[in-house]
Amino acid sequence: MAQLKLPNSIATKSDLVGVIRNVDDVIDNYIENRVRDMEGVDFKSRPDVTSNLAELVAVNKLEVNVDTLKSLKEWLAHLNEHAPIVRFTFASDPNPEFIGGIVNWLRMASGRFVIIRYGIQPTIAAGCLMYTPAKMYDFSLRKRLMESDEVFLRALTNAVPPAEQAVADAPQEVPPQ
Amino acid sequence: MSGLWFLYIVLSTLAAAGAFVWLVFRLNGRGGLAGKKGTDDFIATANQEVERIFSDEFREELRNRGRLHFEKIISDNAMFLKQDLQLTASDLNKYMQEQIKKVLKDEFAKYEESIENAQAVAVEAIGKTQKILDEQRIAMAKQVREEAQKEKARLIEAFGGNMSQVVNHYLLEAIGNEVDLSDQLDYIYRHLEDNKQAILEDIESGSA
Repeated sequence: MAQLKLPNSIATKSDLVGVIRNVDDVIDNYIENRVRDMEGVDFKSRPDVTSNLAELVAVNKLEVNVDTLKSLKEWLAHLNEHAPIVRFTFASDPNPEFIGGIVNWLRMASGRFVIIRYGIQPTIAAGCLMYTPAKMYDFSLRKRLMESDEVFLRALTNAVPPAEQAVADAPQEVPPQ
Repeated sequence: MSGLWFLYIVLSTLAAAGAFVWLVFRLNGRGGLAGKKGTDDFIATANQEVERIFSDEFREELRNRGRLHFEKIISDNAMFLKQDLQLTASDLNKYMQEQIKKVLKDEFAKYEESIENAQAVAVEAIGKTQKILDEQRIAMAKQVREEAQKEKARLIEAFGGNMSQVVNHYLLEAIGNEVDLSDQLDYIYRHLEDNKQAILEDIESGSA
């Protein structure tokens, strides 16, 4: 199963756990149908397959059976335990395409199936905060603005006369004779 | 009047006594023993006469007159003494007034001189104090101006810093929910690319 690919739609830890749970459900459904066959029951239930699992199977061109699903489950469980996790904080709730793009970049760059977790913090305005296991990266617009204080002060200084000049222009007190 | 009368009595008494003494010496010059005996008789007679003339009443009268005369003399002398004493007291009073005036004049002169000296010292001290106050006021005014300039500069600088924070806060509040995440993707990619190496190292080191 080392050749399996993890689609970018399975990006977050919750996605991964959901797929694992879905695989379990599908396996249980297969077993139930097999028991019904053995008992001569003319009824087969259809498993609820999520889009993530369907894409996972499609991407990897898997032949769906119990053994394959069990191997897939083991692989997903291994990922759940050992895949590197990167946490993000965004200014607003990201859509799946946005998350997919971020995950794609991380996985392409690292060559590993990186899993992400994310939260929302509107005060950062734009950009994101990224937390690797060892470090935090601030790619937010808030930090960019804070770092641009010098630019603002320069613009402000250019817009108003210097303080010394303003004081010098102010009327001076004449000491009494 | 009483004095003349008293003088008359005294002169009469002295004349009678003189006549008597002259008679005694006359008789003594005529006789021996018989004369001696007669002289004694005369003396006794004279003594008797003296005793008769200078009786106790006469002596008392003389004593009274003498006392009165003495009292008069004493009274006169007392009056003179009183006059002298009054005169002396007047002179002494005048002398004392002059001396007191002189002393007071001297003391007032000294006092006035002291007052003038103290006034001069006070004026000089006030002048020095005024000069020092002027210098301190000028220095303080200069220092206040400098401090005011520094404070203005500091306030303007603080205003600039706070202004940037205000503007930043305003921008963050204004655009916080308005920027589409899709539009931020390039921005985020750029930062990811800029920190790619560090991010990959962190991922590798943090993964089991």
